[in-house]
Amino acid sequence: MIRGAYLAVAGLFILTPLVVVVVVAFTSASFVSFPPPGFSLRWIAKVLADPAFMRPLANSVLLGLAAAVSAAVLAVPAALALARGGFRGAAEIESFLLSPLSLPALILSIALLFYFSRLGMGAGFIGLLVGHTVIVLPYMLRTVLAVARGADPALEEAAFVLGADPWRSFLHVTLPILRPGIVAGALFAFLVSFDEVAVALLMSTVSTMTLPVAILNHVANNYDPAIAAISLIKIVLVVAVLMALELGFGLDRLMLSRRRP
Amino acid sequence: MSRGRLEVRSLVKRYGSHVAVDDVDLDVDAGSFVALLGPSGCGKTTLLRCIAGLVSVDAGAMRIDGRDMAGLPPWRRSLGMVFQSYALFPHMSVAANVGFGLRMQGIARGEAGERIARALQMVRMEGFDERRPAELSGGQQQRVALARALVTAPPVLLLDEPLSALDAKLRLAMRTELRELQRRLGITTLFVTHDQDEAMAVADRVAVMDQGRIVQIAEPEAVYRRPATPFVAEFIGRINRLDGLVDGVAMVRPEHVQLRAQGEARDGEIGVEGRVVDVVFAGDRLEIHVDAGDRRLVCTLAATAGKPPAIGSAVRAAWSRTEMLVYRGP
Repeated sequence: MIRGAYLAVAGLFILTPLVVVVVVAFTSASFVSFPPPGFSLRWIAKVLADPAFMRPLANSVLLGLAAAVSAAVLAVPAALALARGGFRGAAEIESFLLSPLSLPALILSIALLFYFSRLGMGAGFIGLLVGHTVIVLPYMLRTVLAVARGADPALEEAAFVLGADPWRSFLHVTLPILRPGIVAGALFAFLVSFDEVAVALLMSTVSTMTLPVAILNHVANNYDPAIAAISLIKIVLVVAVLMALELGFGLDRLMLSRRRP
Repeated sequence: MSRGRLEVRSLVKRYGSHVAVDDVDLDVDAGSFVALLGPSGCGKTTLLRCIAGLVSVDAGAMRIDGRDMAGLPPWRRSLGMVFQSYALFPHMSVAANVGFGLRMQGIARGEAGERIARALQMVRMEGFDERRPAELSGGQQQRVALARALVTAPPVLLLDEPLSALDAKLRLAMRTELRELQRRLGITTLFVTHDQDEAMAVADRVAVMDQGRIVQIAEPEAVYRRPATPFVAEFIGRINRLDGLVDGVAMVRPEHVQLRAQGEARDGEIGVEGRVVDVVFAGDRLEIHVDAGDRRLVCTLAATAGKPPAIGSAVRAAWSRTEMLVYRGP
């Protein structure tokens, strides 16, 4: 009884703002009001046709995917080395690689800005990608490391004895075993990057602007239901990604990094 | 069967200052079954892993049918190995697991399919092709691991405590099966175990290891009857230590100890007087514990041998001089 009530309150707390956003996205009025005077698809149609939103949306998707891929490329070898352990400073290196979690993103973005201007690169997609890779790396490392630590070290040895050299053993045995961790890590990485503002604010240019920055810019100048409409589109996208993964892999399995039975 | 003769010469493996394998020589005849037996930490698993190529060696030579393997990585040695955890690939079906070695050798799909089917039949696992390892019982996983190791027809099969993860009943059944399979295939087999019953039951010869060295290698009966050192005598089977009775170390197996009436000394026998302190029923036999003042002795009698002496009764525990093992010097 008490537990049910608690869950209901918690659910309301999370869902109410979303409900407001979703309802306002379908308003027929030209200003934000709740409840709306009538319903229409005009704001959603406007946002979908507006390159000021659609180009940043495409940028954000691309950036999220690229950050997830580069985090995987960096985190998988690191996780394998850390899981095997047995070298000095392994614990310190692990803490260091996880440290972006506790580092304020704003400080990181200021540091990156200095760093890139010293290199003469300035803001741009590469800057965004590097910044987001640093931010999402810990998520990828943690999920991959959890799977790597749980795997039997004899699996790789069995592959060796059966005639697989280290590369083929990695390809046919290690990588498929790490897959749940990589997919879960990529999911977190994409979602974190998709929502990230601090680095994006400083590293974006007009052509590489991400969606959260575009929304912030829009809110700064005008307060119309277009904000609710683009937010709805963002929510739908995220839910679609989660559902696709649930159907393909089973999310709870990914999150707990269990093996498929 | 002239294939699969394994020679190990002066093999040394050190971990820092610890010598895990200390100058080991080992010959395994083609088609024979040798058990590496010893307490944990004696170096038996390290020796097996050196032969597989999974750990580098510091010195020595290893040859199979005269071919030197010391410099080869494990994927070039084409050996068969079953791991303690079985190490079946969890993301692959049973058939894909068994076929992995063939796939690495580039064997065509059709031929591989036939060989996988034959290997699964050999371990009585036909019909399980599409199952995942997690859907199999421990004993079934063990059979699949064995099929996977044998399907490439390796010259030598290495077994690293393959039965230790099974429960006691299944372990007995599997070791008989393993022995029969090994005889039928005539494959040279090296089997690591810490279980002396297992080693004696399956192997043609038992190599007892202690502190990185092979202390004795012989037929199971010889190891039991004529242990080369006090360590082997105490490690294999049960034995009574008879400290102070002769110069050096003397020992006698419980089944060689007879119980007689006190004072009944016979020619050629040595004995001590004492009291029965415990009678333990062990199914097919009885263990009689005798307290002889400064030492305790255990004597085993067949359970069918009649009424055992009562606890507290005075007896003479005696044994023939020829059955007593005596080790002189350090």
